[in-house]
Amino acid sequence: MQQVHVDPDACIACTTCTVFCPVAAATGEFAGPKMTGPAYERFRLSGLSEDSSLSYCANCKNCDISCPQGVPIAAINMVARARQCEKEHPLWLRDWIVSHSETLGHLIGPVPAALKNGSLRNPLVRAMLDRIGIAREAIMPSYAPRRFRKLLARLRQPSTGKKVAFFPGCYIDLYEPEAGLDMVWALNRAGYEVVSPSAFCCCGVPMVASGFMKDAERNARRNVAVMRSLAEEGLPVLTGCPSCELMFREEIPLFFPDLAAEGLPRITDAQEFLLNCAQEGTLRLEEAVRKRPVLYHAPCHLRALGIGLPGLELLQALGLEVVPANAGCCGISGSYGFKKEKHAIAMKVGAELFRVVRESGVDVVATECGTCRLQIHSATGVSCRHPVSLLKELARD
Amino acid sequence: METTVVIIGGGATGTGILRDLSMRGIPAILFEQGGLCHGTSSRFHGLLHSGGRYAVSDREAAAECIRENTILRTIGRQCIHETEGLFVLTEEDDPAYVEQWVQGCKAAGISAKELEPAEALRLEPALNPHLKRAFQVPDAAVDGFRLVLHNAMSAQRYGGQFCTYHEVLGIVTANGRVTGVDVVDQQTGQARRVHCQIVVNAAGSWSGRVAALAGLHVPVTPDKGTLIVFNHRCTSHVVNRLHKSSDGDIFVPNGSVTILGTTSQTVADPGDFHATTEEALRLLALGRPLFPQIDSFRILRVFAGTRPLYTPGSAAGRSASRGFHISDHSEEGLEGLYTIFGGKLTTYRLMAEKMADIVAARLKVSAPCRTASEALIPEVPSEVRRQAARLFSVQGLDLVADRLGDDFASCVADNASRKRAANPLLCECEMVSAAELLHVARQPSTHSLNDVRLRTRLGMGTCQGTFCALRATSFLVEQGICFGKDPLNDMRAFVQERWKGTRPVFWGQLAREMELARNLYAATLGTEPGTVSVPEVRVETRARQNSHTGRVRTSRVADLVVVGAGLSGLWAACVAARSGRRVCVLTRGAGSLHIGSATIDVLGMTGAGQVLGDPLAHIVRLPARHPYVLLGRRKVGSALASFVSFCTKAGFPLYGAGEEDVLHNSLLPTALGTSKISCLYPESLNPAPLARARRIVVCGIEGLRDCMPGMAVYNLRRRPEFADRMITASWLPSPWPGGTRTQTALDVARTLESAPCREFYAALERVATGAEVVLLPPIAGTRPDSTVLHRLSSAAGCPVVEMTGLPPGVTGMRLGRLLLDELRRAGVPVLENATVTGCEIEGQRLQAVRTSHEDGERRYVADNFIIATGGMVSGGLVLQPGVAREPILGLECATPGETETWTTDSPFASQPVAYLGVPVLPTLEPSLDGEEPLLRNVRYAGRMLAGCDTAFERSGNGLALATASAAALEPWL
Ligand code: SF4
Ligand code: SF4
Repeated sequence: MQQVHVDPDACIACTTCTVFCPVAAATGEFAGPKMTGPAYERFRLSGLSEDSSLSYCANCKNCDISCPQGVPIAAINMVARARQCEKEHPLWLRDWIVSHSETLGHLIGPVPAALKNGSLRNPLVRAMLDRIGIAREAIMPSYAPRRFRKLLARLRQPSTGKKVAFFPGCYIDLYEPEAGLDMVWALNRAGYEVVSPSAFCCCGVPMVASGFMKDAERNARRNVAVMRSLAEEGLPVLTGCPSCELMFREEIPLFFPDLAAEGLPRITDAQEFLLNCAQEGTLRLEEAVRKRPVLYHAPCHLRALGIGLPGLELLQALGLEVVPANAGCCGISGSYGFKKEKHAIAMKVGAELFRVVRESGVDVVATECGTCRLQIHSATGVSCRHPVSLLKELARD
Repeated sequence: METTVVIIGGGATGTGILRDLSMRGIPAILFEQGGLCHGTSSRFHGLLHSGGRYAVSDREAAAECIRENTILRTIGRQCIHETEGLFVLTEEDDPAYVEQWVQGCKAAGISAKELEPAEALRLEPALNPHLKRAFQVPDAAVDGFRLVLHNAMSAQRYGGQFCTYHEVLGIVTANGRVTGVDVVDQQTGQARRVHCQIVVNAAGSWSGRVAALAGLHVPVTPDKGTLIVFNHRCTSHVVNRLHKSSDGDIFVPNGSVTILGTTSQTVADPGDFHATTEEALRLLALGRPLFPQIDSFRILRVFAGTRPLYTPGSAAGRSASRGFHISDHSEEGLEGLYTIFGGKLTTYRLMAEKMADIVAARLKVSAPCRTASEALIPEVPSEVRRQAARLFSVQGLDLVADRLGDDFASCVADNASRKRAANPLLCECEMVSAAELLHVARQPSTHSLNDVRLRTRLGMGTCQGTFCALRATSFLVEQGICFGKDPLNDMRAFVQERWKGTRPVFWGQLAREMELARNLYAATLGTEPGTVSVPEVRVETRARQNSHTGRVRTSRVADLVVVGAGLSGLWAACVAARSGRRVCVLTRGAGSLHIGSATIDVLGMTGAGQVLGDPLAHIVRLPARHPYVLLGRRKVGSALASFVSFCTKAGFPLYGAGEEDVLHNSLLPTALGTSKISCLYPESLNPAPLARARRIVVCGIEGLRDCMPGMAVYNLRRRPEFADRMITASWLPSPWPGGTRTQTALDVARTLESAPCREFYAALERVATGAEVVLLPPIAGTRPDSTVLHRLSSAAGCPVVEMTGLPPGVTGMRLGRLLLDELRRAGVPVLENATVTGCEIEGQRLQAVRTSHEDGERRYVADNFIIATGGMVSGGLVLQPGVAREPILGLECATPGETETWTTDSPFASQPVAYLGVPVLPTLEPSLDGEEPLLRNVRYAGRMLAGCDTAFERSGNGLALATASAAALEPWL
């Protein structure tokens, strides 16, 4: 790992972040962002051993969002975790499994999805996984029969002369390729042909969160190389996943500064891109076919991007009544909620959102983040869709 | 009183001599005028020299350094960080010097290994990437205070005694011989004579003055050195510039901080510890070639010390010898008096050895020196460590053990029954827990919070005492320990001492921290009346007029963009949305609303004194450009009235308006037992029941450090208006299920909101029996409703009142939520994490504001803008050396060279610097000349406005609401 050091100096110890950290609200085992972040960083640098509560940080970034001084608190925590994991990584196997779903997908690729998913529901398998630290109660995402990029390769797109590249992110690629195809539909409709190079790999966010900073760095290098060559061809790179976006935009410069020093290619928020197309008139969005009430959940990582809520605006542009849930974090934080010792915390964090979803009476929740969808759906039974998928379902042809 | 040897001076040399003599079995007493280490030994950068610094100029000193350095690492493990050091040749240094230096190191026996520049950069990534050469030497960091303390402890183990706060007033002689000294105990004022055979003057910079007591002269010149303390370990090695020793060329990572030093200036007064802005800026400039990003390193404070230079003849400053010197005054006709001076901390042990050798020879004691082979502090036995692990967090354990030295075992034993949950961290920045604090406070040599600080580092971290001073004092009073006649005064003195070190470097994050501190102190300790002369400044505009091209992304359109989501931003957005405008809020961070107590302080203090009665009636007394004066009493009043009616409609009524809605100020109880002056407050803070109640019960919650009922009772009883009441303190069991972290009021509030907590309510019922009012910490839930409050009062059987205290204030969260909910209902988007960094101006209109992101900028276009970015704490106003800036429109004004002149001695008084800000017209449009608006569609609201000191006036939230209402309601042209 590079000798990176995230500066804690901006902190004025105001405690705002502690008020807004959902994990600290849910458990007294976590010292809270200010303490594990800027406060403890001063002692880490003097060689003191790691604060044992660091592992509770979910990297949800609510602390960063709330900090009035702009301290990159979650990043301090993640760098510290990576250092700690280099020394000692207690549940290594479990952490590896939950943070390398793409590699895992490759390894067990030939096994039919039904079998993979069946075994994930098999109580014996779950008991076994539980023993290595994957919560038995956690509902895991199901593998799709075919990966998104395979499906895309077979898809016939209208050739418009304008092209964009799409970074699918693992969730869409492995588990929810339909959402990716919906995105392709929307981009086609806006006049763009979509490519999604097979060389793209996991953005690395789950690896960072589980302490595998080196793996995240390797992936970042690969992805950035692909993005650079796309940029040379003049192709904008889009993603529909806020976490992937955050990785390219904010985490790579902090964690791998030398990679960023060479200039990072831009990544564009697909929803924002579509919204711009709509505003410019290249994407037709008339009244929706069906006025279905929608509850919208803003993923924490999207809020951290500071670009507003373009997915919500897209749906509003259809004339839908979209109610923001405004109920905070769903709790899953990528793979956090799968971890046995964190599962109950994750459910507690999400409780308020689940209540709002249940009480809203809607039958669909829109949110950009894949694992948020999984979490909300498994906790409430309410269907959960990517905003662009809803767009496709409800827009007039 | 009688002894054999009296030592004067409790620095490293003095305590080193005490230790050496005691180990040889020679009875000795040490007197120190201040606390231990009052002088130079704690007032330097903490470098344990390898000798590299003297390799060229003074080989003998260099050789001594490396020998002593090696010894101290073995005997003083707890005081020393084996950081290693680098000597770095920058582009600005003379490469020819390197050869001499390498030779010098070799001759002195100092290992100096050359590193590839890339390797040096790997070790220290913040170093100048253009460095030419780098050498690694065995420098280390030493905690001077701890070294002195541990020497004293070691001496005590051998029967040595030391008396701090004892000033030597005279040296008693008879027949050309020393027979004793006259000392006075400064705490009690008691004077006494101590008989002895020998007096060793080890008073460092003061040794000239001590010698003068016997009518003698020693050639010692105090030389002032100023140093800067940075907030964190910006470097993990000691870093020296490889050139002829000079000012400001050493960075020492020491504990959790980095110290940069030192300047050198001959002074007359050995107690001249005054540091200036000019010196600080010079140090920064000198450090820049080593660390180009030095300006982004956060400064904690500056301080100065005086070195006692040995200056026979005329040498002074850097050319004076850093070697030491012993004067036997029998040569001048006085037997038995010795003065030892010069030298440096690294060689203190050697100096002590030489001195003790002379004393021993004179006393015909043949015991040899053993100080080089025996550790100052024995290692902690594993049994004690095991016990300690139950009390301290694993990481904190070594810190405490090293700090306490000999006292560690007894501290652990004293607290054997305490569990970790009952040992909260009182100082989070330096990790000082209740058990450690209590132990140190109980030591006979501890007389003030400042003494505690030196031993524990309490208050020496990021917040510089903002939080911990209040916590520590409360906790100690609770335990029956009061420093001085009034513990609140001791706390004030502590806070003032911290404040002093920040005044010469009042900019950047430090200024923000101090503004936060000032607000906190004002809300708990109150402010001191008095006017300050407010400087006239010329504000200019450096607006960034972006072109429409570049990496600009999206533009969103609204009627009105509000920048900032503190009380003023949220309220402006609410008001504008209610009047039918399409509003969008941009914010970076959550504003300070959620951590404060969110009482509406309208005006609690003016230059003339505290404002009782109707605060609006006092607006006329404010300075002419004060925002309240600009708006006028009527507008301020109607803004507050509309806020009150909004809160009432929203089910969260505010109290404080009396007959016919005339406002009047009230005194709200704080968790310290002091009062906070405010005007409008929710039901839970309404102090009315307190005014009537005869029997008052103040409750703390077990494990909750921010509210010590004993402290509150102690201070309430001292207030005349409570003289005839029956006030008692009680503890309630915590309903919070607990965990490894330290509990806050927020934890309790959340638990009360979500769980039945029967035991807690039952206990409340018990302790409240017979009470007419119960005072509680702010725990009545986090939502803007009274569910928890009513549960509390029905359990208590009488009204309960929350006491305000340290952040997180919980009561503020309720108001924050109320406003955010209102915006949601109104469909006003609040864009989070959007930092506005620039603007687009065309003519007299602001076209758009821009937020910057890693992937470029976004622009937000609107007809009108309200800028409500807060004051100095939140970055609505930014201070840099020589300039204050409003970052969005780029309004700037020059500030004076010495920042000290814009602050006052007391942090509780009004500060000239606070009056800086954005000058506006009565319409709140920015205006440079007070006549013409700079832009016609922009208004400012809140604490960045010029002409007010909201912390001092206790006017922050009132001002926020009044200006927000006006900004949103005044017709736009
Ligand atoms: S990233 Fe989330 S869990 Fe971690 S400290 Fe910040 S708010 Fe808390
Ligand atoms: S919100 Fe930011 S400034 Fe405040 S305590 Fe947290 S990190 Fe520090």
